[in-house]
Amino acid sequence: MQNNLRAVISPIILICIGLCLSCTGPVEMPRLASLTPLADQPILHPDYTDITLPPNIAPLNFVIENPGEAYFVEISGELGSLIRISSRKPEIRIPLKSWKTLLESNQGKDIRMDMCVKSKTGEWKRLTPVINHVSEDSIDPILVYRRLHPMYYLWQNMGLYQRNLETFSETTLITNNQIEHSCFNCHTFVQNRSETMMMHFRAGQVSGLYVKDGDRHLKINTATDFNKPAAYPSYHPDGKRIAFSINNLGMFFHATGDTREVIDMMSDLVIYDVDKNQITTDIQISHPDYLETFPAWSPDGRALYFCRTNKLTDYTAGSDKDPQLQYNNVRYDLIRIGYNPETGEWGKLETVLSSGECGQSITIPRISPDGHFALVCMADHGNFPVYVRTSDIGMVDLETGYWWKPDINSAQSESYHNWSSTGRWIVFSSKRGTGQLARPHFAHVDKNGQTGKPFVMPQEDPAFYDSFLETYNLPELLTGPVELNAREMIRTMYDNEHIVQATLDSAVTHRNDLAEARTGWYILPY
Amino acid sequence: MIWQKPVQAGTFYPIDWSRMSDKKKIHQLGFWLTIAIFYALLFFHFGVRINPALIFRNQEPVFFTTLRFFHPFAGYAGGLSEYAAAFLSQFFIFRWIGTFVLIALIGGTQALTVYLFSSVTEHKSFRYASFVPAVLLAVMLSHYDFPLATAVGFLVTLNFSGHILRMKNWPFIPLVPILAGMTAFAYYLIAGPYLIFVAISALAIWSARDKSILQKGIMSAVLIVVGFGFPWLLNPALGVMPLDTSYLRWIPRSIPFAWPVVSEMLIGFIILWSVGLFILSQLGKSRISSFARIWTAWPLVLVRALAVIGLAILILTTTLNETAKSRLTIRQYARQRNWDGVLEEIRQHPNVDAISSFHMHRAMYHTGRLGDDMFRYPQNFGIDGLIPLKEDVLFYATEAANFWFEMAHFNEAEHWAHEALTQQGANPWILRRLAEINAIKGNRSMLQSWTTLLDQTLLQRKWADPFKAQLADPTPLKDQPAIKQARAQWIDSDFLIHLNLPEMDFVSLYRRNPENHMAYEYLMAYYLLARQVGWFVNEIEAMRNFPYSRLPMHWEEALLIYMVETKSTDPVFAGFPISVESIQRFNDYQQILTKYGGNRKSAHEELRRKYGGTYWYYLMYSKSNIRMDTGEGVDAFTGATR
Repeated sequence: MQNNLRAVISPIILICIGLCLSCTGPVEMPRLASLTPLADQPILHPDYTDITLPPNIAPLNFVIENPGEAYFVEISGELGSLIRISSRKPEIRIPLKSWKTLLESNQGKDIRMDMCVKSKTGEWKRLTPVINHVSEDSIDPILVYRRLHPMYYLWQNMGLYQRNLETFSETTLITNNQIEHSCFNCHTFVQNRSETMMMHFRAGQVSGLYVKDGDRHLKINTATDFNKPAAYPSYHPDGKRIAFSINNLGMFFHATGDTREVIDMMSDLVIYDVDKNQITTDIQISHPDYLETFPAWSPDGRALYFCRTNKLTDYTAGSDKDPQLQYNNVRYDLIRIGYNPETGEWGKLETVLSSGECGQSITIPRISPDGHFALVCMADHGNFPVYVRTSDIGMVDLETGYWWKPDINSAQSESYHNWSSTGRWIVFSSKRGTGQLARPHFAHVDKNGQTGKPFVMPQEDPAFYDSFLETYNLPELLTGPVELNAREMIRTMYDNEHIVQATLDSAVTHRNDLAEARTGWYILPY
Repeated sequence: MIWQKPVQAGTFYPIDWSRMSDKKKIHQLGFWLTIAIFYALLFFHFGVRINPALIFRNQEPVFFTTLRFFHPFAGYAGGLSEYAAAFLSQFFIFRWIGTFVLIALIGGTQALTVYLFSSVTEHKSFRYASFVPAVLLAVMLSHYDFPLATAVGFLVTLNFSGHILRMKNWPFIPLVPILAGMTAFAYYLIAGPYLIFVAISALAIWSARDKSILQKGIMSAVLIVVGFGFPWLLNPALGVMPLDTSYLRWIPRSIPFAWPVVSEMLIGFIILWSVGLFILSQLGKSRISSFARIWTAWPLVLVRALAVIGLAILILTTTLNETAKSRLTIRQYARQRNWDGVLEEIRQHPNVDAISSFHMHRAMYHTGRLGDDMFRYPQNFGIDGLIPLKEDVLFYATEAANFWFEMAHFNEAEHWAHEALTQQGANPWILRRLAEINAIKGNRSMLQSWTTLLDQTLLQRKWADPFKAQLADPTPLKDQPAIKQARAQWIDSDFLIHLNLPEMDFVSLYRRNPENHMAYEYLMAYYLLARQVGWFVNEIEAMRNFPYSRLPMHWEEALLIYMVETKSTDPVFAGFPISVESIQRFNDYQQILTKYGGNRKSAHEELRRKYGGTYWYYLMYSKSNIRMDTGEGVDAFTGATR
């Protein structure tokens, strides 16, 4: 009986294997030299054409969208060996090892991608070659980001992940299904280093500020008589002070165009001293007549940059309209104030770039490691660029005050951005294409602040982004992986008996309006 | 150490009728007859009464055929049983296939219970006991909230338990790593239900022959370390989180089953019965045989068979939550746009909740009966039953998305579809809605994403076809005929959405698009329910924009009230006269009131009997809530006026 069964099954299996082989067998490679390049431009998805790429980036796998029956790609550089890939499918996956060798051999030089597409008649057509430049500047190898569904009112699943940009390896730092689906955000590091980090936990038993300082794990309640829990942090380069803003954010919805919008109704800045466990501020950064937000330290720690606008009632002075209705007139200026880290004294306040001058609302300043440039968001209004499609990345020369929008922007929102440790690469979130889902993009920046064409973070599956519904949030480049023990972090956040209660600097006067202001999100009635 | 052939399960051997005595034949026949009646009753229960399609409607587990979807399930304990349950649940959308799946799970549990018990003792006389887990599982599966992953977990744990009992006499050296591996694997596969396996493993260890006390002690230590240490290792939050986050995951303890503590009873029964059988088997063959003789005595056999059938009937009569079923049926009909079905269900089960009431109004609008019939149906929630506020609708985000989509309020539909996506996961209904919205909004890239995901579903792939056709068409989306038609309903100027005052959206929508009939009808219904007759009358002229042939009946009733209050004598509104019949009914209503000297309380019963389905009665007697903010003519936030 068993033999009979085997006799029937064996040929079937062999036929199946034969069929599979005949379908997936190697594609014949065209003789490239014999084909003249056509004027047809290759359509690559994602668009990895005419870019400057880091010598240590993972393979830029792509899909050739030019129709064809088979595909052939030859990647070559002045030095090193060729990479040849043939495929019946338009997905091109470049072998990691050969790719790395090619990039390392051709630092500072161009690499060329020749592509051929086989027509239905069996004829190979050669497309216009793609030339990309391999920079000599490496990119920081780790990118840390939060991933979640586009958030409206509810959240459910989110996670903090780190991606090795030299490979396709992504590891989970923490997911919120480990902490009863509480929200967390604002992961922040000290100058691209992973040893010290902080992040906020926003709901339930774990609520509070988490600080990892080497081997120390702390849960801190930053709320004092002056302020509710803080947001939008920036680590001082010494790793011992964190600048925060205290915000009163509300979300509302539109009937046409972009669905969501956020308005900040009140905000101020405070400084948390980790060693002293003390919250302090100064009238210049928490003035009752202004909304101050998005602090960012200069790399030398001797200046604090932030964004500021008039209080909302100023926008409707002399009118009986609700001030919140003026949301589309609210624009922020870029401000700088000197700071003496030794004494903690503040210097003079100055406007670096006013919204009146540039006609844009300036938010989320990030200062280049050499202190020369500030990368900012520039939108036609508001304080929440990720929801505003007019938001672009802007560059401000901090020495001359000259500003411009680099050629890295799209018609959709470009928002959260940061510098690599060398200052030669930037990462930013862009919603280009979908308008709804942010993806991390990288661009090269030279010493004059000029940028190369941006490209999306490569994935092993080149069609990955087409059906990936999560949005990438707050991408941060790091020089090394985050050594985070999730168990220790979770234990710390659940341990409310040992929560560190921040004290308020006795020199700071209590302000009722700030202490009572809500922090984080809530939904406005309209 | 001697390798011993594992004890074989006689139960699974073919029945050799020729060797059986007549008494045994009758016993066998009785057993199989009981099985047949029991499962026939269960089939009727789940197929006709419970309806697996409603279980699916309640839980809507997401399932995609891709590795990317599978990957996260492999990353946590119990994830694989959840994945298997999500797969099986997809078939629940077909009522009878779903019933078959449920019966297979119950039958599988019973068969594996027999397998487990037969691993303890070869004596087959106790197999009736296997009905107990089947009955308890059937009770649990009758609850619309019961997670199928638990049932899958029970199957796996029983299977593993049977195996470990059969391996108990294996040599010490291979058995220890096998025990450790099986314990860890069982926990990884199914999470909480692995506790049965741990308990049975303890029984296997201590009932094993040819093992020294030291060896048994080592094996027990291994079991404790792996059984309790492995979950601890896998769950970084253990120790700071309640136990149920890992050790008890997939053991549903908070679901109010029709019978109390059924999940605990099921676990307890399997463990205790196994231990009992083992103790009995230790008493010696003659003792167990004499016990079996009593157990298999005729009257007891009959009692057991009748008890099993009685339990099945008890399941049938006690486990169905009629209210939950009715509400799910209404939601199901609303999804299918079976509006007559919605209204018929409400006629049969008028004890509706706010969401059912919301669907009731949708059904009346879509069947053209809102103005004529809305007060003939239960109106216990007032405006909250017409359009629930955001806090109430949060758990029904898909329905909110559908509602706003029908009203051509596409941004708000997109907003709620995203809330639903976050809350419920990417189920095909949400994906399809988001694809439609993005097609209308002309967002080709997002349309492509939703279509790709629809194409990865198990049973709804075909839903992607029309979107694929739209994407393949080189014509811009906004110029494609079907999309163009939908876009024509879309407003072209923005307003801020007022989540707490949805009638403001109705006003904004229909003033920006005077052809938005649904927004207009809902606005009028809102004013009636909010008892704002003045505002209702202010908008009555706009009915000229729509193809009305007469004043709807409830509108006439409201207008008659208005005429009395304003002492108006002109019964013509928007070119339509109030019907003579309505005027006569109104006069009669007033006469009844007069008959009772204007005493509303005394007149209540007669008015309820004759005019309980009128707006007059609603105005006079309904206790439905009115939102505090419905009294203002101008909205403070948006500046919109009614």
